[in-house]
Amino acid sequence: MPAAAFHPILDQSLLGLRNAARAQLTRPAEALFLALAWGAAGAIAWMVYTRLPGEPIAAAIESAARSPWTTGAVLAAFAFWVQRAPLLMLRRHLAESCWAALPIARARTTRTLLLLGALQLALLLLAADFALQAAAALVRNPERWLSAARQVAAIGLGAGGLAGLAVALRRNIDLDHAGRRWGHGLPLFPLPPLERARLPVFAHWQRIETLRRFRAGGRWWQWLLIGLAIPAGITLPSLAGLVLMGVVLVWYGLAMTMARETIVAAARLTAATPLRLRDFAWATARYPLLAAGVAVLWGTLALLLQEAPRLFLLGWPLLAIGWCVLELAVAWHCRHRPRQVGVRLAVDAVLIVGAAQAFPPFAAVAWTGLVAYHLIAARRPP
Amino acid sequence: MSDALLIENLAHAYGDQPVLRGVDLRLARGDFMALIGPNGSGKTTLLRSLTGILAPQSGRILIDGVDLRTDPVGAKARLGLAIDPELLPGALTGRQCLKLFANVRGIADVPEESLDLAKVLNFAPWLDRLVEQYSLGTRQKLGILLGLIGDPPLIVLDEPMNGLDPVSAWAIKQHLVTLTRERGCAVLLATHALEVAERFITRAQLLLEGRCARHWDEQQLIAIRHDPSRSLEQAMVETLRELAAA
Repeated sequence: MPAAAFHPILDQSLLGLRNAARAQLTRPAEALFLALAWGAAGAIAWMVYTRLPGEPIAAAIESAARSPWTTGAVLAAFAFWVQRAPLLMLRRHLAESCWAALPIARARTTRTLLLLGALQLALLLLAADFALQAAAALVRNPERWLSAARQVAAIGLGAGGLAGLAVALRRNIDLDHAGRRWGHGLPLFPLPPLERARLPVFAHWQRIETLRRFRAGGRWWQWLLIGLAIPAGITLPSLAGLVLMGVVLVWYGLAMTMARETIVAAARLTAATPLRLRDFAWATARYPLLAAGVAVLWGTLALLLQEAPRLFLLGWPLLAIGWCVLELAVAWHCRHRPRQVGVRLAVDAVLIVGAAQAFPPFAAVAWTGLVAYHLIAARRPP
Repeated sequence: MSDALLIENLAHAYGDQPVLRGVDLRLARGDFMALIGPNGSGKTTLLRSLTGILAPQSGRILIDGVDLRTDPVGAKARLGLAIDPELLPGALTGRQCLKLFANVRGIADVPEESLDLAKVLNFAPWLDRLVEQYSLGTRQKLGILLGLIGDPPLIVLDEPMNGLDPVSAWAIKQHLVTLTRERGCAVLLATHALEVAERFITRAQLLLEGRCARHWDEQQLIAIRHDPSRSLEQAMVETLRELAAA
């Protein structure tokens, strides 16, 4: 089929990728750094994979495959949302972006959405099959469940994905309301510790951005992982604890991401004002620290409901607060170089996990060193 | 020959807030019209409607005789919209953007005329650099060049002089005048820079609270130009005061 059969956004994306690859080649040091970071992340992922407890995972998959209707329905719902949301966002983008006023036939747009939807579904099916094969490689005699599990995954994900594609392609869908990334950000109750402090607008900004993203929904991967983590025959308090922990993790992850993105946006907005870093840092730290405190409380309750070992009860607050402080330090350091924030965090996480793998107390040393480095680097002028 | 643009009884509301309340507008070929009005008067909604980005709730839009609702591709083939600098794809070079837009209009490569205009605008050195490296003015130049590809019968520009240096702004205005006089294109220019617009336009339309409140034709504009004590800006402010008093 000729290229003109599709929407020119495909050409735009391919050209953009080519330009990005060329630009990366002109910065060999950064390319090498990224390659090493990805290599290290791959090595750690492999190390974690080889140490996974194969038998419990296989038992969980086998148990899920024995309830094909329930598992299939969960996977279908997941595939439906994973397929529908990005395609609607793309439709909305095409209707409002620089392409909107150009003479592009609707059929070209439809064919493009079909192509991208089919590719996305194929990737989803391949990923699911790859995950099952990887789980099978961890145990002996996976034959008794592998075939059934692959069928359930293929049928469930396939049916849900096709339904999501069909809904996303519907002709008379209201794009003004579909595919929105944002919900409303009106807080349900005041938070005096944030509002009565100095420079309260930054914390309020972080809070409403978090609310808007959380209320917009999405994050289906995370919900699926939580759903699949529920073992058969779980007691009601344990189930409540697991679901609560899932909600805490999703919400807290989002609060940290939005706090970080708001720091970058706020730094840009106030770049020409005489705002001292110390004041800026304190003003932008309050909401994430409060969120960390809330996550610690609810997460601890969730762990208690699950009757988790004492090590988890002690480790969770350290993990939640340590994560928050590291995110803040990196965000302040890279506030004028937003593209580096994600890479820096990934590299730091790899370093800390690597240190923990070598000798657990080393993780605390690595964390302290990295936070100190970012705080010192943040004080340097951009 | 059909009008370059015919808008009949166009109405649109956001929720229960009406923004366009029955707008009628006609642009013949060769017209150079400024669409003026205070903030919130409905200019942007009108432009979004006639470029197909927004579907108005009622009314009809014909571009060069083609109905935008029944034949959007045919109508948009006759329309050139200067792209908002914010919407330009940062990962592409200016030349790649121009080629992509030319291809969409069925032109194999960047037209020589676009490259010539790029030279006049001092944009040529930027052609092979990524859009994300451009300043606001440079992006504005690219947005205008994209809208002019293929000399469509109707050209629509929203505040095109924002961020342009005086030499480029002058060159753009001269080019638009040439397109209207020599090629019969019609230009609809939404702007607040009335002192700049009044020297080039042949008509002006004041939009107020979603309605066409006042129109100035070529003779009236010439009279304003030849009277040193008057200006289009002053005429608009007086009209707004009169309407507010009424």
